[in-house]
Amino acid sequence: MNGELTTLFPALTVITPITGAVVVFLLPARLRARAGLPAAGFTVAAAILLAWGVVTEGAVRHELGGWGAPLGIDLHADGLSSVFVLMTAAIGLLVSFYAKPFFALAGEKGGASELFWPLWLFLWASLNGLFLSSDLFNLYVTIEVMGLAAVALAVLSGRPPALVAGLRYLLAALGGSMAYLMGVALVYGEVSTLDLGLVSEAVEGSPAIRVAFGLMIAGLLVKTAVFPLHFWLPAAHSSAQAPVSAILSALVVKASFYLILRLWVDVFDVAVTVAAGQALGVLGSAAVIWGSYQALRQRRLKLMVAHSTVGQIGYMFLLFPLITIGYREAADAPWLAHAWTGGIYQALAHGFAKASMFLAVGVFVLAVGNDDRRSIGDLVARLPMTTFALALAGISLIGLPPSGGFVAKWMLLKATFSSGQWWWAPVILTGSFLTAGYVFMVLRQAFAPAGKPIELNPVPRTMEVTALLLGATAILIGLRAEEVLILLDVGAPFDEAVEAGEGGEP
Amino acid sequence: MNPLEHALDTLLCLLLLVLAWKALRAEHLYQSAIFFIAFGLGMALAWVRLAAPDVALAEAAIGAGLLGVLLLDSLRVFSRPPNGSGKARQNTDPGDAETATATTSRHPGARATRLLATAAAAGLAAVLVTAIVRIGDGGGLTEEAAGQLEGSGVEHPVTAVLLNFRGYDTWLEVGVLFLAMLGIYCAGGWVGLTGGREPDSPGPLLSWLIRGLTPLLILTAAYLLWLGKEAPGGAFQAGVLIGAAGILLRLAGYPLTAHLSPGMVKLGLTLGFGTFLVFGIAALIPGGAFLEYPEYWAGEIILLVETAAAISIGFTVFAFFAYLSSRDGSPSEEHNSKPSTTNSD
Repeated sequence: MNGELTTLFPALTVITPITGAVVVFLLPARLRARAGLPAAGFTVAAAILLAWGVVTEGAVRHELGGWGAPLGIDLHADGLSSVFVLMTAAIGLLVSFYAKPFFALAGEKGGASELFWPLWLFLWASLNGLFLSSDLFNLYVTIEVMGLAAVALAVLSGRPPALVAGLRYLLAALGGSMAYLMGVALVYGEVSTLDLGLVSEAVEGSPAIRVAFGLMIAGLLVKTAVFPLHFWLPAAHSSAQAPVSAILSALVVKASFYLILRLWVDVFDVAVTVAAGQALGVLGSAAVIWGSYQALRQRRLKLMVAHSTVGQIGYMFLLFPLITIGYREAADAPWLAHAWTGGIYQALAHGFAKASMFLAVGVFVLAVGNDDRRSIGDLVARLPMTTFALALAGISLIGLPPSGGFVAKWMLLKATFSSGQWWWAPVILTGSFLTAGYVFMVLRQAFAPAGKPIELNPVPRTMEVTALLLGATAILIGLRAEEVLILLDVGAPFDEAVEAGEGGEP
Repeated sequence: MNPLEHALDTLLCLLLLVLAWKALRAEHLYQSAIFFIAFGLGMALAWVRLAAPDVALAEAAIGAGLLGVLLLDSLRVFSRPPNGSGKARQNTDPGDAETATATTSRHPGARATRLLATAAAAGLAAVLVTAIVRIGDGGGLTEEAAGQLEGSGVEHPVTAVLLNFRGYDTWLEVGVLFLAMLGIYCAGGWVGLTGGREPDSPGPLLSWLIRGLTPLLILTAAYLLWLGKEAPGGAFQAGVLIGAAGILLRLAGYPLTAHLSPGMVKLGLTLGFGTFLVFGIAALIPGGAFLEYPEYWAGEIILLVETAAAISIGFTVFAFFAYLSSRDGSPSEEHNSKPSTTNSD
């Protein structure tokens, strides 16, 4: 492939969805949904091109405005960013297919649902922009765009509970990005550059940098909803409409996680301490236990799925204590790659599984009219495909083989023992048991005979199929770990990559 | 720095602290809003003292001006009795209802929350101060920017950074404004800008004043826009002035939104962002990077992009106000104590 052409791909993954957003917004309402899907398709094509470029030619850089760092802003695509861009593309495309019939139905009930497409495409662009940006301040801008678009989507229904939750979401998000921005200002004052690569060369573990790093991480922790900063998430994610809930839970919280990971490993590695890593691990553990336990207690399905997000995010943070000791003391420690891959796999697997689960619950709500756990009796016979989707997603969340969730949790568990940090292992297992608890509770209800025969509203076929495809992908990425690992390897911080295929088989 | 300047700066710092404290602790939310506006103006002065006139202009226009208008307008809505029905209004003295709903809340637990927030803010301030005093004067990228200024198409380094070196950031920030308006639509329903109530005329004197001020505002906006090429000024400041002109005209009772079709509203909201995007993509065709302007045309392109952005920013700012004030608690309703006489137009 032509090298010069490849450098365009990072820019294209941002421009394509944003152009789509503007064009779709300007179109009359009846054409909007029809134009939304092609725009989503082009965005996916751009993401695939980018991943292909990264696999064949290594990391790709695009100098926006032609200036180049430090004066200009660069987009930089390596394995880690490409994996997240691809995940966003895959989930985004399926959610888009689901959203079209969903909002065709919802549009009859009023609300601002015709604004879904512009907002969603804009959000997609900001996610891609965040995964690719190589500039601390530009990252702040993408976070702002992402936060605003996400809040707007969350209140799309215009219903009072959504508005209340949305306002709280907005305030939490703004607080988080303010903290991040303060950190950026301190870093710029100290090292006079904003480019991630140049900052990483220039920083030393000075007090100002430590404060800046702490502020940035704290702000991003709020946006990732890590225990105890998750207070805004359950209400906001559960009161949104089904496709939006899926987008928020599967993708938006992953973006701030990605950024924490990027800053932790690539940029501020000199400011990272073992204690900080352990602290993130403790927060993650608390999130695993608390979120999963709360999910078990919920009677409303959407709230259950939202609380489950809090728990599953916790798993991703177990990555930090595991890589932090090794990275500083022994860069070639054998468990590093396991922990690294396990944490990222958790982000991927949870993305697919959670999107599937929210979409499946959305189908239930559409069919039954509410999301009470007890009103879904006998749905296994009436909506077998959606029940199956829910089960597949649940299997991945629990971490049963051969799902993606299993690969993630297995690798984390392996790293836990080989690093000697055995104390995270009970957390991983307890979380799985609690998750099994709520997943099986829902399935039991779905299998139980209904008390009295109920009239189900018809559900468009596409919605059931997309939920199932997402659930199936959450399982299948456990079987096809090699491809993901090859991509993740480009520019990976840990040389000892996991042998391809090792993750797939216990 | 001479002693007089020292004294001035100390005074300004104290003033800012007092205003911030007053804004937080005022009995009445109206007072809080007024103190907040004063705080914004004080901040603008502080930016002037820090030799950042661009930021000062933006702070005065947005932090004090626009935010003040939006805050006061929101308070009108909040200070109406809940339900807003005629019955509730007749049974209670309007003044009472206002004090009941528009004072800062005093519910149990508020004290603990306040203490916690104060402690957190104090801790954060302490950490920030210790970090900031340790930072040397790195100088940032000022020299780098000055060195490349020639190829940027403009002579003012701030404009060069905003519109050329880091145009991508500015482009996305214009998108943030667009998104903010979409967010308002999501919360309140998408109806374009029409359909809401038009305000009543505020009386002959104010109308006359506003009619005189509007051309001046537009002219100043154009001047600021043009000035951005070589001195502090530019799209954001100009845009806010255009928006202010729109807000004033609306307050004076001109039915500005009545003739705006949804299509025109959409165009107004996306014009700036879209122009940026078009030039950005056009740069890809001869093999450049996104938003890479050819050196020869850079000045003209920047002026075009800035003009479109200023119009869009002005329109969006106006749309914030027009949309919000035409929903519940419009200014016209506030003036009329009896609900039966509202909105006869």
